[in-house]
Amino acid sequence: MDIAHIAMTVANGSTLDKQLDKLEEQVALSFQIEQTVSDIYTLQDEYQQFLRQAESVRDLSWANLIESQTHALSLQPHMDAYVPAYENIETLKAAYQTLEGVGGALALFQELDGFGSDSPLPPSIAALQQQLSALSVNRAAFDEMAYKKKLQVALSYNQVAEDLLTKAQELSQALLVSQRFSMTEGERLSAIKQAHDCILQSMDLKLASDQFVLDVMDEAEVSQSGPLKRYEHQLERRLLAVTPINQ
Amino acid sequence: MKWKSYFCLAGLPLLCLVNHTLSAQKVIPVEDRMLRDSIAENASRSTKQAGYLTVINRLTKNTRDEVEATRSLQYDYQSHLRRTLSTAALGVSDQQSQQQAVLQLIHTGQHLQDYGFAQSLNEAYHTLEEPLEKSRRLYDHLVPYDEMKVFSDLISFNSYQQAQLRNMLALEEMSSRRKAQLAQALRQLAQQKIRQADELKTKLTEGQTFSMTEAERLKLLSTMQQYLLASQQLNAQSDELLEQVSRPSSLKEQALERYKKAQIRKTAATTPLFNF
Repeated sequence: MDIAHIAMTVANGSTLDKQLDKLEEQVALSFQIEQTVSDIYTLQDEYQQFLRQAESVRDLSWANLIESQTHALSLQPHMDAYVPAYENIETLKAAYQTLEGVGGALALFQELDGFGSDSPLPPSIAALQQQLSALSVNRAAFDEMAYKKKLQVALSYNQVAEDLLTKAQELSQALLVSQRFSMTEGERLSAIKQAHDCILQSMDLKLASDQFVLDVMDEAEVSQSGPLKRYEHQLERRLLAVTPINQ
Repeated sequence: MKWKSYFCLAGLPLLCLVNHTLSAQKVIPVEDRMLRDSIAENASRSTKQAGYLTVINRLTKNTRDEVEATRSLQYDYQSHLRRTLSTAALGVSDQQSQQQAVLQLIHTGQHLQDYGFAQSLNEAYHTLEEPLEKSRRLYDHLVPYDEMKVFSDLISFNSYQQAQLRNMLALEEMSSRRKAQLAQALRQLAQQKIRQADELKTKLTEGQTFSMTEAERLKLLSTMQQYLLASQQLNAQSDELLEQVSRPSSLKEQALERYKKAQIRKTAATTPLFNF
């Protein structure tokens, strides 16, 4: 057994010690890496879950569309809801209710305009008069429906305008509270713009609402003055007919 | 760690001394004992190393798994972003019927084909490609005065005027028919908008279907609000168009009045003067 062997083994031991040092360091490093990677995974996973959640916007009044929806739905697609009293307008009603295809549109045109190129002109003055009077009933019924509907829209515009104002206010307040929503600054800015647009739109809606009411007043006066005048004349004639000439 | 190696180096003579006193009874050469001890020490160091390596191995495996999971999560997310199925089922993405309605409106020529007497006008739309020439032809057909044409007699002048009147009437009728059709399409759209808004709302506030940031959600909510408003606007607009249809143009009114007078004249002409 020579002394060199011992010296080598001892030197070997010191090398092993150094390796041990490095390994210990490596263990610490690996542990750190593992923790970080696992953190990254959790963060990613949480973020994806977060994107799926809807609670934060659900309790805003933006999510409450019920009122707007009721208004939109309350506009009836058929004429009966507005002019139930008119008789002999079944064809018009049916034509108004069809939405698919060209047929309904052409029938509507026929019922409202009356004299299309594809329908022959009535051969006698009596037939012509009859067609004209049928047409005027149709038009009157349609006008009445349109006016009523327009007033309905006008009133609903008014309410929607209020609604929009509240929503805009709420939105701009919610945006000022930090941590409230997850969004980039660009998105935040565009959300603020959204709130501003809502305020402008609500003003427009109020104006439009008033304009609708005025329109209905004007148009109704124009379209109904003729028939009313005629009715007045008719009443006068009837009165004249039964008035004895010599008292 | 430094202290350990220091201990090892400094303690070597000390160790030899201790060994020497402990195993005094069994005489082993000093060199052999030193060798055995240092080998034993090395062995324990190696064992320790093996332990460390096991730990590192485990940690590395964990790391690999987590990196793998993160990567697949990212891939999932990417494929999720590419996914169109969840929105394809929505009514919002159904553009088909709207396009259909619009397409039906576009065919001017088709509308004109309804009128036998507007054949030449129809041709003006169909055969000419040059926009300038097209508009000039249309002008010729619609505007009753033409400096290029000088009429020598009243009859040809009248017939020319009447042909143009008919053309104008045809064009008007076409436009009002198209208005009726448009009105129909608008109301259809109005109903669709309500449905779409409803659908989106359900998805957005109740379901977990859509992955989006809150900003996007907010934006979408306001879009739905707009939809509902637009629905009402469309309804009103549609009725307005139909009202236009129901008020005949002055041209048509005149034509009708003329026809009415002709009928009255005819009736008067055939009514016997004395009914006795």
